[in-house]
Amino acid sequence: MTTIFRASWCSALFFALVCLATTAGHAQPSLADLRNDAATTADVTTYGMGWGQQRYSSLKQISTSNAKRLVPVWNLSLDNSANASTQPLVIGDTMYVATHSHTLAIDSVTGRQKWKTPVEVPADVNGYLCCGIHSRGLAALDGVLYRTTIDAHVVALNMKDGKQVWKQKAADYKMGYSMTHAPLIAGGVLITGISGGEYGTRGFLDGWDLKTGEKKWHRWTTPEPGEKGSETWNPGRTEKGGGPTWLTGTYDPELDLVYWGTGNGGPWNASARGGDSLYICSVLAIKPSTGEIVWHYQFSPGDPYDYDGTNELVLADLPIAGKPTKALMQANRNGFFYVLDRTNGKLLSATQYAKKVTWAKGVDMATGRPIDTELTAMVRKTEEMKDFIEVWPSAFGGKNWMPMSYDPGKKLVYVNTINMGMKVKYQKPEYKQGAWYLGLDLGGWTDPEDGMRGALVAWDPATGKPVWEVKSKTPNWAGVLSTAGGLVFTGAQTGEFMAFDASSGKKVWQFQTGSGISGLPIAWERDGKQYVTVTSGSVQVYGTLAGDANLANVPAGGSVWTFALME
Amino acid sequence: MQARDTHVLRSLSPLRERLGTIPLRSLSPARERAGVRGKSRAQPYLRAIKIALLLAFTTPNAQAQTTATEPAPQAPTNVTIDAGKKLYTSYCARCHGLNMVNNGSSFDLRTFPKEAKERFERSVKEGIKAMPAWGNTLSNDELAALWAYVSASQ
Repeated sequence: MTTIFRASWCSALFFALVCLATTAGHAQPSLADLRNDAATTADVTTYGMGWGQQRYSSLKQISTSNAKRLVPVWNLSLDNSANASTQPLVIGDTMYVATHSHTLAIDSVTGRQKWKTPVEVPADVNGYLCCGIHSRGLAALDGVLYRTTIDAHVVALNMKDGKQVWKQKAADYKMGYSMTHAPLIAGGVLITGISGGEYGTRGFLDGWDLKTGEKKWHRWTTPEPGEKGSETWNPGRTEKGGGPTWLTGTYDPELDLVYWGTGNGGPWNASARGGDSLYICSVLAIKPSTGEIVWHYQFSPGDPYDYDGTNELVLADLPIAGKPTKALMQANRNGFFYVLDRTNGKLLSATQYAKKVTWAKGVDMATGRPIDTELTAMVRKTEEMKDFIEVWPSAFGGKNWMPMSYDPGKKLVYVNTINMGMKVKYQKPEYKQGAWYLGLDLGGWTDPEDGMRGALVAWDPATGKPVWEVKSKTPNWAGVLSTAGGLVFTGAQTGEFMAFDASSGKKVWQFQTGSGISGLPIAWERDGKQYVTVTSGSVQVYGTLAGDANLANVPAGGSVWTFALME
Repeated sequence: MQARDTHVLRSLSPLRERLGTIPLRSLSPARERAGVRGKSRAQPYLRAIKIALLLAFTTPNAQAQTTATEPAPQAPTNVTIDAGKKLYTSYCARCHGLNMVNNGSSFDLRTFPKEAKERFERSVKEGIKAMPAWGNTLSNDELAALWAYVSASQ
């Protein structure tokens, strides 16, 4: 509307151009565009390719039979060496990408950069980031892009020129708070979470006014003293109690519920915190307009192993016991694949998907609680120990943050999994601002007998069984995309962008992108042609911490790659 | 004689404990680079070093040294290394890797020249390349402990 109004001042030619742009749907994703994102193939307007984050495209021009003809159409340098662990958006003829240092607009077909706006961050911010430098994505609505910054600010930018509309501070980075995730637009509010669970911070969610940036609500993820849930903590522990909300939640517009995962407790040392430590390692179902918690389910009560519950909470209608069920799925760090009834939080199934789990024997379906092994029972009681213990999965989890895909046609999940153990020795926690606040010593990692630290797995969430798997020496740390063309796309830390046959797991195509892939692939179409885009740029959290010799010669360097079939 | 032996053993036992966990990891960089794999392969190597060190400490000279002063001269060094390791895990491991092992995405501290203490302290205090300045966070004592840990590697 405003563009047309302004255009009436200008020449007829300019007016015609603006009209063209408007009718082409350039300027703005509407709320309806966001709601229908999973069903519309021309654009990608949401993180997760739909509010349910299924990362599935109904495009089938690129299929198992022709994937061999995939070639790069363009590549654009992101001009930095951080993780390119981000998901682009495609709106109209423009692709939008967030890095920790910039926001970019790119002509989606030619790969030419249209504008690039720097993110101003303080020079010492790297000292307060637990797990590498990331910016995982964007939200968009009505001509405005929304993003977070690694120094814990929320920013709104004009989509046309990248100019800042508003900027708000969410928290003090010097306390160890940071933000790396894409915001979520739901219920007329911009919702953001927070990172920093390793620094003795306290997790929260914020709701912001989309137009002005005014804070509408603030929800802590650990209780105030005397509040419900405070009885699950040792006294005085909730203020540094963790429960970070560092990945983007999902949204069911019919139920008007947002599902957001919470991370580890602060410190990791469970005995020091005492009890279940609500709401760490949980899923919170909240009313987006108020931030009110409608229900919660705690995956790992009183977690001692850094089993964040933050992994993506994928929404799907699953056939459970022959009945279509409004489900929510998570491949949790703790090694179990959870299916919950998303209307009320009732546990429907929790099946071990990680190869080796030594912390729990299973999940009690009556209580929804894990059944501790002797190891975990001992760990919960022991604030300080003399020797290292070994536990599986490691703090990396059976799966880390890299999001899985759900194919609603095949009703299968495709997920990058990890098979590693870790050695930890619990110690009395000592808080110091800016230092990791874990209450333990990390001794290192243990490998599986076959040396295969990772696998791409096709998983049937209704039966809780794997269908196929493709093992790899180094785990994939990239998002997964599935398409109606019968393909599953993901990337390797050694740089290969790969396509697999969704039915068999057979690799049908790959391309070396020049750095490790930690990006989240998307599929989209323009003028009848299907494209697949992924960002490449090595994976720091695994690379720096895991000491994987396989990656010693993988250079850093972020870029955007777009592929299509050779004409 | 009897009493002296017991004393030597007592002063050695915490050292042996530490050898079992911390310094030995860094004594085996090749194994670490291989991704903390093959526990059994590294074991004879570790045992050989342990034995060598124990022998070194049980020679008459070493006995005289350890018994002559109280506490034993090696002990404070190891305490400092331990403190340094703790600091390392809290502040440095997230980029430089657990036990100083990473994939080359940040500086391999095991290769830091052992004689370059000043350079180490300056880099940490003032920051260098992607590393922020830690001068306001770490005290001089903490820097010294960190250096003790880093320079004890290899």
